[in-house]
Amino acid sequence: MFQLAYYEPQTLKEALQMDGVKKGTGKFLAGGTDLLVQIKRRKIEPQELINLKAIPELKGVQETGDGGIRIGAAVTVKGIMESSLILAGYPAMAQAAKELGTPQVRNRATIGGNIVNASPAADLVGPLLVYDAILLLTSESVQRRVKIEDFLLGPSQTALGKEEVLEAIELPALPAGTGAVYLKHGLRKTHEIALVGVSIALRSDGQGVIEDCRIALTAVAPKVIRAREAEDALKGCHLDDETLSRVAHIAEANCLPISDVRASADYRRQMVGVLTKRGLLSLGGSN
Amino acid sequence: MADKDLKTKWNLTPGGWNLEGVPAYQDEKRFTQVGRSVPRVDGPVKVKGEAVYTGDMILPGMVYGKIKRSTYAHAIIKKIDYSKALELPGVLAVITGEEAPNKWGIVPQAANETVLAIGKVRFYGEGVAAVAAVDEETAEAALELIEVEYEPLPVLLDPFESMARAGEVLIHEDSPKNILHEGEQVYGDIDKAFAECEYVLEREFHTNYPQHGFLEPQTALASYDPQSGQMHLWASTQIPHYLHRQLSIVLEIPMNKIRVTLPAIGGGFGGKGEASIAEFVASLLSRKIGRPVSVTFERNEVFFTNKGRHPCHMKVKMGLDKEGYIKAIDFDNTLDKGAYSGWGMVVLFYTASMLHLPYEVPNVRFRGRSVYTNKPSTGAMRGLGGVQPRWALECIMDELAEVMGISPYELKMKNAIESSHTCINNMFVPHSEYKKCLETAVEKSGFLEKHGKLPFGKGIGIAGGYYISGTAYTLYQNYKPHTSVMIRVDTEAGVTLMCAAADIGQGCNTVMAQMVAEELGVHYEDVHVQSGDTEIGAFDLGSFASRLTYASGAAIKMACVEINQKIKETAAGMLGVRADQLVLKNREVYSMYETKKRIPWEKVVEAYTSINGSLVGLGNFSPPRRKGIDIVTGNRVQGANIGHSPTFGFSAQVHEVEVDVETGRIYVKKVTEAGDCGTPVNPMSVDGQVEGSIMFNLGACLYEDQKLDANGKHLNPNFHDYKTPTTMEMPEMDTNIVESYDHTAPFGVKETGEGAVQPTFPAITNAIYDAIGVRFYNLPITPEMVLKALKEKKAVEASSK
Ligand SMILES: Cc1cc2nc3c(=O)[nH]c(=O)nc-3n(C[C@H](O)[C@H](O)[C@H](O)COP(=O)(O)OP(=O)(O)OC[C@H]3O[C@@H](n4cnc5c(N)ncnc54)[C@H](O)[C@@H]3O)c2cc1C
Repeated sequence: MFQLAYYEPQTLKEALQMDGVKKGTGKFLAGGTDLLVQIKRRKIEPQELINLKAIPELKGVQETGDGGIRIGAAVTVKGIMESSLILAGYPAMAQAAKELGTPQVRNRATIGGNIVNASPAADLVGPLLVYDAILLLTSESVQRRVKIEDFLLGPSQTALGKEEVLEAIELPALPAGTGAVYLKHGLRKTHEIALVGVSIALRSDGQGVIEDCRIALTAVAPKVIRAREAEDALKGCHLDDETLSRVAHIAEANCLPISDVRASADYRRQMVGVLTKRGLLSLGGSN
Repeated sequence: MADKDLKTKWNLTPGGWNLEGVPAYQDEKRFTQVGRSVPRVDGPVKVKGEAVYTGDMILPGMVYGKIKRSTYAHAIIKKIDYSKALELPGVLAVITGEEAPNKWGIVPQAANETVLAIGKVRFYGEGVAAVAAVDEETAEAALELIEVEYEPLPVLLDPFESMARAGEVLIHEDSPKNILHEGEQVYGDIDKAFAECEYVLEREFHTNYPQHGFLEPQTALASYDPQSGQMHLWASTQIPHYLHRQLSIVLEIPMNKIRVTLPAIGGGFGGKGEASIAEFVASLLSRKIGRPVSVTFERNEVFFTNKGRHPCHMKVKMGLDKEGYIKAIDFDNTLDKGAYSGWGMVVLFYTASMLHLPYEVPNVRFRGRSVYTNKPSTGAMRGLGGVQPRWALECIMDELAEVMGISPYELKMKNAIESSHTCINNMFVPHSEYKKCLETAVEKSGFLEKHGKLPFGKGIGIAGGYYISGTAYTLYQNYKPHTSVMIRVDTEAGVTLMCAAADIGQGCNTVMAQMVAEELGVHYEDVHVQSGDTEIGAFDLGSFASRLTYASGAAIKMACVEINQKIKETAAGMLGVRADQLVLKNREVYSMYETKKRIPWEKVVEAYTSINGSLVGLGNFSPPRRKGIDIVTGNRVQGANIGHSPTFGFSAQVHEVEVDVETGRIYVKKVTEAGDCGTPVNPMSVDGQVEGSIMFNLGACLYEDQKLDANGKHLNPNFHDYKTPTTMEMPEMDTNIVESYDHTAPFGVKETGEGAVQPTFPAITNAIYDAIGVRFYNLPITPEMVLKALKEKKAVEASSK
């Protein structure tokens, strides 16, 4: 029968030296809100669970000194939602956190788990993409920095090495005047996996001409994706009606949604357009 | 007992109401305990997490049972090999269908389910074998070692396909058309009536396949004592009696050797209104191994075994005369029964009886059939048989009002029934405040000022409904009282009510305590309730058909007659006044003429019991039984006894919605409800029931639907994918209890837990029409449907320009 060994390493070093990490038979446990479900459904059968909760390097949200912030991978979704640094500097992250799951889930779930689980519907990932997040990946011998976009490979697939842990997430400083938003669409107001999510970061000049823009689409492709053609189409434009519907259409064309028990591909695609338009409109006033 | 006492005790009105000896100036409605908003007796332990549910119980030596389930929706079982499972250490027993071949089902004429499938499976997830093991993990591992060989049969998921292909595929060999039952009821001359109508509309409506969504899954703990042959079953059920009876049939043990006990129960809404496989499997395994066995369903097993609401495919035709009076309804209903009969026949004919109220309808034709499919069976679900036809009728009336150019409110008021109404099928409504419900809901919501006048995307809709209160018939031929209670009064336990009523979370233990307290003249806090046990309590049919407040109330009143008489006689001696001039109220006994002559109630009890021992009173309730006949011809009509009830509760609702025309999402913003529940025994509980009712059907109207793939496999058997509304979807609610008192009912009570689910579907559907000009005839109304309909509407408007 299925047996699991459970460990609670006290330091990052200790965690990375564990047998289960070296052999690849173990799994890191953060909030467990994805992992334990997968174990229960027998999607995976690890031999060891290595709980990351005691490890100090994985905790806290700090300023980095160059205007950005560093978020420990084990910071909970509730922690993200309530962090004053995030609320002030990266509000789309806080919005996404607020929309994730239920209060019980938010109390346990972590940002690291949300990223490494690599679900195309992961709420925190869209904002991380538009904020150009850098992931700090640490193994016993090396530490490397990878852009989130390069880290995510497909559903449940990432560039995380067998012996690596995600230690922290770095969000670079944003040019002044950048506004950002995360819009999530589901069938009900809470406890909902996104049918569609749209994240937008936008900066325009004093005349309302868009100088820079990043758009990420959630739950409409094998992974959370950037809508680059839509972004390009926006640059140099004003947010007028014509631009809005043109960009919304391009965003719709940028995605590859599926049909499932929750919604049809057509509906998801249509919602990409609606949310993109609404997101841009909500940022229209900010510069 | 003296002759005189006997006379008073048995001289009751149909509602168990004793009118004798009540001085004219004493107002029977001046209650002190009934009408109090008291907290639930079971509230504190539930809030603190201390309530003990069946799944919390652990008995010495207890082991766990698990069920192996079919991976085909329709297949012949060629072979079951469980030898490997038996070899697994920790496995104690394996059973298959052959060990309990007796058929069970709540309606005995049609009982056709076995505990585990024998020879053939008829829905995906049907049980084929069960295991007892020392722990759940071992039991689960054992299930995987059981090898079942199937020969797949064609899967019929649609009732029309099922009927059409009956020549080729039969779901039950004894139902040659794949139909459980079909029936016709005709009252009056329908064709003549339609010919005389000024306005006639015909529409088709299709409802969905929702489930109750109770929090506690079915759970059972059985302990069989081989020495005495006694079975004790703790179970999460609404129907201890019917379960008791069916256990006796399946186990072939007499009922007096089986005891059913209900621990705390986490909701039922009709889903626990039939026995569950968990109960049979726990009992069979316990008997086999001589140890207690606990079986708790996983959530997906709750979906697999279902017993939720019947999808109905309804063709409705309604005709009005020039003034707008309803002259005729022609109604054709095809119900999707799923795999086994269960409540089926009863639900079929409830959908027929529901056509006769809350409006006066002189000519009615019903044709219906309940059709087997290879889906998890449908069954009883809050508002059984009423919700689907009510939706169709209230929507078609909304359309008819528009055709006539009058307000739907006016059309409803014109046709609404009043007290002392006899329907054409001989259903009798002693009392109705339905018109007051409509008036109140309309006034408080400002319906008339808003309807048809709100900006595009915003809308308001109105609908009414009703439900039976109590039930007139048992499900098997029997004339015994539907409820019996016993009340014990002494200095040791104070006041104790002993009965077999099932408090499944609806709060009957609280209202029963209030009614006992009212009748004895003490406080509700003084009353202990021992319910939900077939051995300690006396007989009760169960929690369904919104019957408990009425039935228990009547039996309680009767049980108190004897006790009060003895208290009065004792107090009379102590006070030196006549017994028949004494009043029992607020823990005191006093003379109604010389109010200074008073004595604490407890002192009287002490005086009585110190000489005679404990005081015990017994009470019964038997509902009036009216035959379902055509009152014009006097002819009996098949199935027409169903739907009769001692009294009826009513509700009217106004829903205000906002439709996001870009995303298609529908937001119910505000609900104004007014209900006639007779005397609200516990107004706070009434509010809870009504708000719960509205949320219940708001969910089934906009979100909830069980989905199956082409092979009949569930696509959303969990609360992640089967979406129920959360508290965040809850609209602002203004619920109102209209002044009402039914003189034929104990304490003037009626139901409130099922009438208020009836108007929700149509009020929302009508509000959506008011908002975007689109009428929907399919449920649930999803955002995708809204967008599609808006697109079609736009295309039609463009082409007509
Ligand atoms: C009821 C419910 C509702 C939910 N709703 C949402 C929702 O609305 N939106 C949403 O996006 N998600 C939702 N989820 C999914 C889940 O809660 C989130 O993805 C969450 O962020 C996962 O974090 P965790 O800490 O629980 O991860 P875990 O389950 O502990 O881990 C997930 C995976 O990441 C790995 N991992 C975790 N931390 C690290 C690390 N530091 N380094 C390396 N690997 C690591 C684990 O080994 C595992 O493979 C829901 C889940 C549930 C049960």
